[in-house]
Amino acid sequence: MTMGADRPDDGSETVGELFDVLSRPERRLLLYYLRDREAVPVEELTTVVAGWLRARRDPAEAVTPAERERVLAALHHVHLPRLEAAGLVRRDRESGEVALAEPSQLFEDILTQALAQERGAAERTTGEASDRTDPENP
Amino acid sequence: MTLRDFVDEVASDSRTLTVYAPEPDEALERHFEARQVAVEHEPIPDDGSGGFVVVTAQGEFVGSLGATAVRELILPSVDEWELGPNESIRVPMNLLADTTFVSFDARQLLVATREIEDRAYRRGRGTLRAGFQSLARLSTQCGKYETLSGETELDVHVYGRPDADPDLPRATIHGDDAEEIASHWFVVFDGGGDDRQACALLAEEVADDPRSFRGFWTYDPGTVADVDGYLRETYGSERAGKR
Repeated sequence: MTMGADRPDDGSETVGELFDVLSRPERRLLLYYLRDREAVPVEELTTVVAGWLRARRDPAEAVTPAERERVLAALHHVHLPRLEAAGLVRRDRESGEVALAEPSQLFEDILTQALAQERGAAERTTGEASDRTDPENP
Repeated sequence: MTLRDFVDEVASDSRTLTVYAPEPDEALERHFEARQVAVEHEPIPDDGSGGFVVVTAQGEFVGSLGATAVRELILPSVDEWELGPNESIRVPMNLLADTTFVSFDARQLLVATREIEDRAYRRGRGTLRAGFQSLARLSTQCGKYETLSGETELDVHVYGRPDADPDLPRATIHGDDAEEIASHWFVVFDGGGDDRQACALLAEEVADDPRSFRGFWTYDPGTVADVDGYLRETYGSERAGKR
């Protein structure tokens, strides 16, 4: 899978793009979820991204159907196209399913490291009973 | 429609919880399966958040909540029936147990009853309907119901087998010989104009030694209105007497 097949790529652009794409938590969560699976229906992906994102920020606040709809719109209009353009996922327009495109080793390594980083940050803040640290903005 | 029909309808309402977490949660599974809620597990990698729980009803998304919040709800001594609202958790019971079918023992029934009475008292207005199966049983609650009917603007209606004449001048007493009044325990509060405060408990006594009940409690305004309307229309007449 190529990333913008017509653009010359000296490697640094690939890295830059990867970091840009992964800068949004919605996209990271989506990729973490897809990593262990074959194709996933976009409805399921939406539920997961919506629920997971909120649970990380504020587990005590429920996600409503209306909020989930907004996540669906954001995935459809913003995040999935961005991930597709970066060559990280592919979407089947007919079935509505999303799958990881063949991931590069760089991508795999970064994703694994990102996950470990987030887990470590969460474990460090668990001890603080009251203040909830936002893992997205340490 | 009968009171038992309300209970049966809730009993047949299928709701599923899907727990997205690195590992399945046995305590959570046991808790909800005892309440007729199917529990599934989907693994997600461990990002330190503990995961989240999604509620669906007939395949439709109802809501989701962080798994740590769900655990907090159900873990503190499971036999203390915590109805909420637990101030630290927003929209918890409405999501997990909008309408929950349960088996109660008498003590759990009382805890649930208290919660609704307290809610009605704090709201201070609206309609509260309470049926404790016999009016004689109500006599032991007279102080509380005097307060509820006398110190607030609540329109208080009490129901039961006409085996006593409780002294509650500011409440409306409905003594009735109907079998379902004798066999069902209920407390219904219409919210006093605020749907978020509407709640109801309805349970049928199914065994007497020890007493146990099958029924539900609900925060769903539609369900509350249905039960409230049913009681109002079916048992509208006052004082000991027939429908």
